[in-house]
Amino acid sequence: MYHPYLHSSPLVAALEVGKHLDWQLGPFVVHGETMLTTWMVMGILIGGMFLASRKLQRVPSGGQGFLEYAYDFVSGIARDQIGPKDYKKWLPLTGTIFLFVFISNWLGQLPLKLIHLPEGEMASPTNNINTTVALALVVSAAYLYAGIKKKGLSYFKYYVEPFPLILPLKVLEDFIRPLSLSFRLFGNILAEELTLGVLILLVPLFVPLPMMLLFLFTGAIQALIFSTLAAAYIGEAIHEEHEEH
Amino acid sequence: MNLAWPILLGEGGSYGLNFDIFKLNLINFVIVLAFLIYAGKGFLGKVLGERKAQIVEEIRTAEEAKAAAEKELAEAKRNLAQAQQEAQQVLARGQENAQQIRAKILADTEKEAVRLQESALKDIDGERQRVVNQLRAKLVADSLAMAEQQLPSQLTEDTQRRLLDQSINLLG
Repeated sequence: MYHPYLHSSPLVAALEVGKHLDWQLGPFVVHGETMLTTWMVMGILIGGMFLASRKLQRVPSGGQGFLEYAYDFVSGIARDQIGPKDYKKWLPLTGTIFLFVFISNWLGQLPLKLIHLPEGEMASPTNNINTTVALALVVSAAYLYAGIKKKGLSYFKYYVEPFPLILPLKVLEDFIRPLSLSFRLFGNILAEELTLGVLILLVPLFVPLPMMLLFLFTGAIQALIFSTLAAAYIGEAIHEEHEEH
Repeated sequence: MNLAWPILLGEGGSYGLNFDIFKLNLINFVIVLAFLIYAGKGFLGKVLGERKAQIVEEIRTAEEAKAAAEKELAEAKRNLAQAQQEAQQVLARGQENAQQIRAKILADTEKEAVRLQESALKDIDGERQRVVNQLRAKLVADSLAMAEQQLPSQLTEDTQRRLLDQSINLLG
């Protein structure tokens, strides 16, 4: 959907929505601008990790100290949700989700439009539903795998507990979880960027500032929510409730 | 990337840079960035500084504990060596005592054996003496009895006279 009324030439700025830079990769059509920004996020993460962990010291300072602080933070999320016994196995997943979503959300605030594309414009990778659905499906696969690996086929007893009539709801839950995960993140980030875009279009200077700060805050919160929920789903799947009865 | 590159170049060439400050929202961005750096530096600096101080403190505590433990280990090792030495001494003293006692007991036993042997010999001698005396007495008694028995039948007048003569001759 292209909004021509938002795009009129005498204005100092214009807004485009729903336009993608389509790349043909073999049999797939991919959204090039999202690809580019995803690679940027991966580059930031991998490069940052590499640079900060190059010279490890016993007393951390600078980048190493910051990374250790970040590690403490994401491992705190995982430990709270999964429990102290199993969280270390799932920390790489939930921690990476947090960092990826966090950097993705904040990346949209950079002046990415510096690079002009033939179509569409660069923004957060998380404002594309494909990115968030992929992340949410990874989470779904992870918690199903975690539960089945931990409990074997008796994992599926969870679907008829506490009484068999609940089965449809539990099955539905497995579909609702990725849906809500992906739509929450996608909707929030897209709305943020649209709001900012409109605001910048209307009042280019200073007025968007509070919004930009707010969106830095909500971007961090969305990353926290996504990784906390992922860890909570995994924690619920491997939780040994049979032992307590 | 190899797949994407030709398409990237082939699609009309409107890739490029965009320096429109207003479209970039550059002014607001710089302000937000400055604010972030200003606020984040203080906050992060404080948090990371506290964390670093805590780590330094923990390392110091651990090192002190290590040093104390090492000192205790050395002390315990010294005590152990001392105890072993003492044990050696006790053992040596015990062996010495045992040797002395053994020698003493051996000597005592030997003395006792000699004494027992002597007393046994004495006993045997005494017994033999007694038996000899008994036999002697019995022999004398028997001889006397036999003599008394035979005397009346053999002591005729002739014999008596000859004996008397003999005795007188002997006295003579």
